Amino acid sequence: MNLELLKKRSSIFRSIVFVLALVISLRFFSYSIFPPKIKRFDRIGRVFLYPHRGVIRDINGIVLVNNDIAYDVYVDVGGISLKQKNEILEKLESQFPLSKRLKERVLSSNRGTFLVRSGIALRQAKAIAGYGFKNVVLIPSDKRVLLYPSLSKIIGRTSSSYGISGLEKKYDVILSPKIKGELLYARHGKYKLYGDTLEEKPAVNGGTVYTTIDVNIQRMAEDILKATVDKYKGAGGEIVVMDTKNGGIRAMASTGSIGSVIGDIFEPGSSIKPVTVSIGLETRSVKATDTFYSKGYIRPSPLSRVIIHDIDKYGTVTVADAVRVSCNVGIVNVAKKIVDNIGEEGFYKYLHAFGFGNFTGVDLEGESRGILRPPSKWSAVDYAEIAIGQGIGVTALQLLDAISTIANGGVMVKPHIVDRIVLPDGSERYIETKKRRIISEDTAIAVKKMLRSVVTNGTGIRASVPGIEVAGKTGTAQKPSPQGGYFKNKYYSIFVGFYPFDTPKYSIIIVVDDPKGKYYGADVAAPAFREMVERIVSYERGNRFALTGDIAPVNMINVMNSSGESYLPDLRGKTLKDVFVRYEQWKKKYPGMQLKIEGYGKVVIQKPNPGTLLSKIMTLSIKMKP
Amino acid sequence: MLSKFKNVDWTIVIVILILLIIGLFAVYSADYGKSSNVTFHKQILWTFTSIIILMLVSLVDYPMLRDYKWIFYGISIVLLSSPLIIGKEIGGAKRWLGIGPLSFQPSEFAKLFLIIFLSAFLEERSNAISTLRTWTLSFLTFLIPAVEIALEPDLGTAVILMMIWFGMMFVAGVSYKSIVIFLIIVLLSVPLFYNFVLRDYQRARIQAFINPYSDIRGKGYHMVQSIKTLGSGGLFGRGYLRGPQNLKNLLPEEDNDFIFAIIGEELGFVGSIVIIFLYFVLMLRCFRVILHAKDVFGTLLVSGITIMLVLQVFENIGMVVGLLPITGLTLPFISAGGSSSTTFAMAFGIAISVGKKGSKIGTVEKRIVGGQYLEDKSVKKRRWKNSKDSLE
Repeated sequence: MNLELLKKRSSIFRSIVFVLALVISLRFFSYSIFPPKIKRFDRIGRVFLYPHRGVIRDINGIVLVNNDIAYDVYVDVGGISLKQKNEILEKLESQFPLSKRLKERVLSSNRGTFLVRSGIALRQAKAIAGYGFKNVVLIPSDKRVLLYPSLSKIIGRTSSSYGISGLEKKYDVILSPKIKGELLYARHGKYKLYGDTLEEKPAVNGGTVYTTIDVNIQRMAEDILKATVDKYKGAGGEIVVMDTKNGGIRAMASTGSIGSVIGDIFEPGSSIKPVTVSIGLETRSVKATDTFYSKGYIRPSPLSRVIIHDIDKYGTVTVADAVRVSCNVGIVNVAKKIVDNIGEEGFYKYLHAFGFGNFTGVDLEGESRGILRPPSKWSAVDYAEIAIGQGIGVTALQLLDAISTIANGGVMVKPHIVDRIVLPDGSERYIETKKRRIISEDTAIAVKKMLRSVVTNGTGIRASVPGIEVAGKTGTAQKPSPQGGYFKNKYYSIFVGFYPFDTPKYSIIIVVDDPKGKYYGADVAAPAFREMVERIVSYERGNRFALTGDIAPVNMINVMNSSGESYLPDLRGKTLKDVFVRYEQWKKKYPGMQLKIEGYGKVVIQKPNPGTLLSKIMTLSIKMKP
Repeated sequence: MLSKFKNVDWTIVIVILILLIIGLFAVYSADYGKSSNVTFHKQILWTFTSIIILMLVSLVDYPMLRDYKWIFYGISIVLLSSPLIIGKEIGGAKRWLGIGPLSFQPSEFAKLFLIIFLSAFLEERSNAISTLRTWTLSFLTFLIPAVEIALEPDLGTAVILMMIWFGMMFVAGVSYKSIVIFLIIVLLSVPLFYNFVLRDYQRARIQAFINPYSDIRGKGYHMVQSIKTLGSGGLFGRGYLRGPQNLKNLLPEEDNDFIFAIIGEELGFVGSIVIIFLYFVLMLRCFRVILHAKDVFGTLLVSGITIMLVLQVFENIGMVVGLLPITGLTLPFISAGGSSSTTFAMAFGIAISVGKKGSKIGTVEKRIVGGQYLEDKSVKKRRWKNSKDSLE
């Protein structure tokens, strides 16, 4: 009886199930036949990958300027109360100072986004993020880290990721970060973020600029310049090392009174004499074997009472001897012949062709033309003064380029600081090196021989290096006084030269401003030149890793944690030299660290892995493959 | 031993096997492309465990279960209390109990145990079924575990539990008058319940159900994604392991609560309807067992099990197609997870056990055709219609 009722109710229940099944099936059917449209982005999260500014390297690939992660802090003032703004500013001010003007602007504006600070460190950014302000936005940016501060003038500076001076400015188009990348990932609702990456478009970083600088030679040059200027208590000094063949500047440095190798002008004095003689020979005004008689002084023009003195009565000298012993009378005589032959205008044109009074065209900012007045403004004796390096203003680079022209067999190269550029797509572009012939090869060789004799048995004997055929010219120029005329006891001590004699590799100029005690180029600059040559030769003979001196890169190990501990960077793809340079640095801090090298070429395997604390590494093993 | 499997309703067994296998494939697909397919490996284990449990439980002599009704009730209460005290928190809710590497959801087992309890309880009181005392007592015995479940919080299962109770009361034969009075009380208490008992996220889910497109990134996300996933399948689906929504792992809980959406995306309407049909067959077989059960206890037992099956299947599919609000209820035999599979295996073991002892097909036929024992196929085909007629 009761069971019957149960069965009856079950049948009713069964009917309900039939209806439910029908409804569900119909609903199902409708969705399958008329599928809802799927929008593309409401289900995808995205993170921007910010590209980095390109790196500047030296000719061997050593990084000169790198990026550190930094953050720019923005405050979006839209939709927040004055109280909230005050709270935000108060918290931010506990992290870094804020200018009164900025604070007023933020407080008085109702909309817009303000950059309140750029380039803060990760640690600070974390602290700010920790406050949890919705209206404070942190955007990663690059902070440039100059690894070789002494090159700061060449490399220049950036502001808000734009180059504002130096190479940073000149090559801003190449270096600037290229394309923002993005990471798309599946987003599951508001609170559930899955890490499933759907698509990764990597960011495109800026290109790399390879300079012609060799940091090792640069450091030697800085060392020697400093030592020389210190030794003679000079007011300042400058040095340039240039690849004679193509004009690539390996090193350039200035110190003390001299602001810039390419901007500061001095009178070249005797060091210009090889140029005068080259012009004389080239125009066939004189021959190398022509002789003059020096009685210790000369009056270049009957129209003027100016008399040019020599430090000695040389007697009869040939043109070659005039260069070797730096005889003013001989050179003035050469100049006289030139002017007689081709006129002052012709002389001027040749000087101009040698680069005086003209930009060298070096790819650096702030270059000076120097001073070379046109013949129309010359007095009667100016041709003679200029021939011995007075009344003419040159930059160290101009003079070096002119002497390199002689070293190069008469072909002038354009000095440059950038060797090549590697674009983000990996393609390389070499900077075009312009060459033009100024004088014939015969003339150049004749003058080269004279420059060699300067070092073998002339004024430049202190520049000679045993085993190396060095050539060059001394120069001692009186320093012009701002009141007009010259200081009686202030000089520029100059040596400009090149080596080896036959196929010159490097041209070097050293100028010391106002050395005390000794002041002749032969005594002050020539020994410094010799030391420079010796050290470059030793370095290039394979002693490439002998890193001594105190101008070590400040931040070679730039992967550091907050407590100053360093991590092992990724060495893969680096050359042995790169590894060695770093290893030398690490070893100073962690003397126990051993280095094991297998094979040659580039690093393919490193043990331990990148990111290991340097202090924990006993042996760093690398495997290399070509 | 073999004789013990005599009179087993093999259709039920086979349909369950097919559903379990489909479940395995679906779980594999849902986890396809993810970093780990541990869920799939576990599911293989659970599938075998479920089959063994189904077989073992079907051997149980079901009438003896009524003697342990208070034990089942006690176990339920203890099981449901334990996660609140020592439970594992998954997804913000303490629904899980961890035993070694395994974790299980006590509320799944509790549902079945409470069905067993209520069947025995109502059988005892079958002569006074519509009285206030029966209503109140049975209501309270279900309300306690339901509140416990709601506290986990798992409102979906709590509501399902109360619906099972109500369904069983209905089958047990309470008068229509008392049903109407009860429903009026329920309707009056709904606003109270919504405003004062529900938590924010639960209210959000109901709002999302009413208008899923109001906040597609937040509250309505599950539902919109589910509908999109399903919709991307079309009539014939994108092909197994080829569902774009699935592969991008855009749908949360895709191997569990929302597994049906994945099936819909990859196998399309045709594949989905086949599964719905399988469930439908299973339900009809359950009704067959109910109608042939020889006693009140067996009838109520299988009714409760069937109600549980119907509610879960329709709620799960209904939520996937956006007909019903989102709950954490699993799709029986297909969703990943051991608790659900083994509970349903146990439940259907009992159903088979009831079926075995039910009146023989012949005896029913005999009653229908006036004392004649017929094995005629045409009669068999008309059996459902006839058996219904005979009851009225």
